[in-house]
Amino acid sequence: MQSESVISYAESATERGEEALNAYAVGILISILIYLIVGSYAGRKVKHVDDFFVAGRSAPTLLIVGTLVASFLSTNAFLAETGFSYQGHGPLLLILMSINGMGYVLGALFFGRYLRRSEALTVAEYFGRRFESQGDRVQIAAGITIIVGLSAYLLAVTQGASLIISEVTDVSYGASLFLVWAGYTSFTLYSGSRGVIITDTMMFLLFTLVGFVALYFIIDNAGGWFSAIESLAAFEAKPDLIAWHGYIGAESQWKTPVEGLTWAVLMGLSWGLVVAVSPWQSSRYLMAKDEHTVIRSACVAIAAILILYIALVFGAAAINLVNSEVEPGEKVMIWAALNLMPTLPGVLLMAGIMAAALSSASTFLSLVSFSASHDIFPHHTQDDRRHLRISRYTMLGVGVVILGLTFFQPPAILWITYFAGTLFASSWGPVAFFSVWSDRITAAGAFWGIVVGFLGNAGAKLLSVFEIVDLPVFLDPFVIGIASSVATIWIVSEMGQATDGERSYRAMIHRVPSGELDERKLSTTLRFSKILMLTGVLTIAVMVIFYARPYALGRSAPAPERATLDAGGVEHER
Amino acid sequence: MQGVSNMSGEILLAIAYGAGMILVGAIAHRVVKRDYASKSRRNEES
Repeated sequence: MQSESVISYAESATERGEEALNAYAVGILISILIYLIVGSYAGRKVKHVDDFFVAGRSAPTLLIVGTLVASFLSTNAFLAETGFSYQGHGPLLLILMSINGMGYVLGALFFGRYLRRSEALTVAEYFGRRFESQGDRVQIAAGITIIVGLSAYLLAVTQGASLIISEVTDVSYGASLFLVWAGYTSFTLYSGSRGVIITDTMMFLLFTLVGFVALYFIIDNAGGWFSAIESLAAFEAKPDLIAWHGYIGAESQWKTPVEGLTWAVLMGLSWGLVVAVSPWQSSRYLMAKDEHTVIRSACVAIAAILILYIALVFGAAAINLVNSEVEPGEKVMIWAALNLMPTLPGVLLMAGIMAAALSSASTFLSLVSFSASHDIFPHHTQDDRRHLRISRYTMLGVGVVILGLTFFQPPAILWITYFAGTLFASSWGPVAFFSVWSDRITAAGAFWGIVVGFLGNAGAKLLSVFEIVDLPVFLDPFVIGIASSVATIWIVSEMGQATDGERSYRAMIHRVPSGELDERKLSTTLRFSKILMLTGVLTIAVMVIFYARPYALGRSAPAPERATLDAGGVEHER
Repeated sequence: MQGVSNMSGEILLAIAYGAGMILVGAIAHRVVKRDYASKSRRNEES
């Protein structure tokens, strides 16, 4: 019965995809329109610079969770990483994410809440205040890393979103670039962070929901959950597709399970640092209404991301049971939306993927602009409205430059995002944690730590990309960058002394504000930590029952004789 | 036997996936209690 339903679905898939082509375009356009309306509504409440930069420092837990997750997940998660899972590396991605996710809570506890106490407008400004003896230099160095790293990231996300639109509509890639750019620039320009955190949260809810809706339809097409996992365990076209180490061997990026595991652990640590200290994650804590909100949001963010990744990884892997030849793999979720799902859920999936892209883009645009107007070229006007106007003009200028660059730079989504993302882990990671936990780090140590960490990572990556050196897995550019940053901070700080002002600033951020000492707030925050632990226990149970056990059954059973279908509905035996 | 040996890696993955949440949840619980609970009490005492 199941194979009949698969046949009927697949036979009509292409036809339905063509008929529904306009529906996908209309769905995406409607979603962009909704963000514009919400952004313009939120923009009306932007009266001061604080509203524009940090949403008035009044955001509740839901909005901080929404913006944390939405700015972290982009086309990278929904296109590149689902393609990665489809190709047989999903389990490595799960290992990576389990370490990556911990960065949320550890970052909030050991950096984010101290950052919030600084009451800075940007994270770079916090560094400038903390290392006051060379404050301008440190703030500018941090600001430049934001502009270089996040502009590259924004470029990639804009191109990724444009590729989606040109893929599912007749609109050309160039016109799609302009459409996507105009969409996120307009609502970000008007509403700043106040609008971004609301639209981010709407997008977060949308793509989380559609992630599970997509999983339902994919698994339904693949013959049901347990049957799908057992079949994937014995899938010959891509051996070890969902084994703990994924697909390894001569043709894989990783030759042995240990190599794959080493890569996943290192990338997990690197991205864990990214979510702990990077500007597009830690800056969200500057908007939280209090420190309890910071900690609660981090607890929810890790749970939300890890649960969503289960759906994305297994959903993408299961598509192989219907069609194992989607090329390139990065388009597998678009293929699923067009071929495995009825029109409405398919439209929602496409809108969800677009939401993931737009939410990151709006955050990146705002942060690059804030850094340009506040960290690199600070203006010392006391007039709040003038400051706000200058910040908006700067954002428009930055947006135009980004738009120009997207036309000249060929799309390379995964490469740029992985490159730009981990830059912050090595250049900001050590300085961020030392700024809170060390009295000995000097302003010069912080400055050179940021610069050397950035150049160490970028330099090693360039040497590797241009095949000048062949780095072993354990010497990832992130490792080289972070090691050189820590060594530089230590050596340079040994040559000088932190000033009294810097020591007293550190002491100031270690004082718990009296408003945070509230029994009701405390008991609610403790409840969040308990619920997170309970979620961990339930996740283990779910993963054992729905993954490890059926996987073992699939491996021990004789090869199933069942038919699979390709995209055109052509039946072939495995 | 084959099934059991194959299962161990996947079970470890399943455990590791949830263990991260348990670990950081426990750390958060301890740190929040240390930094906000004891000071609340101290605050009341003073």
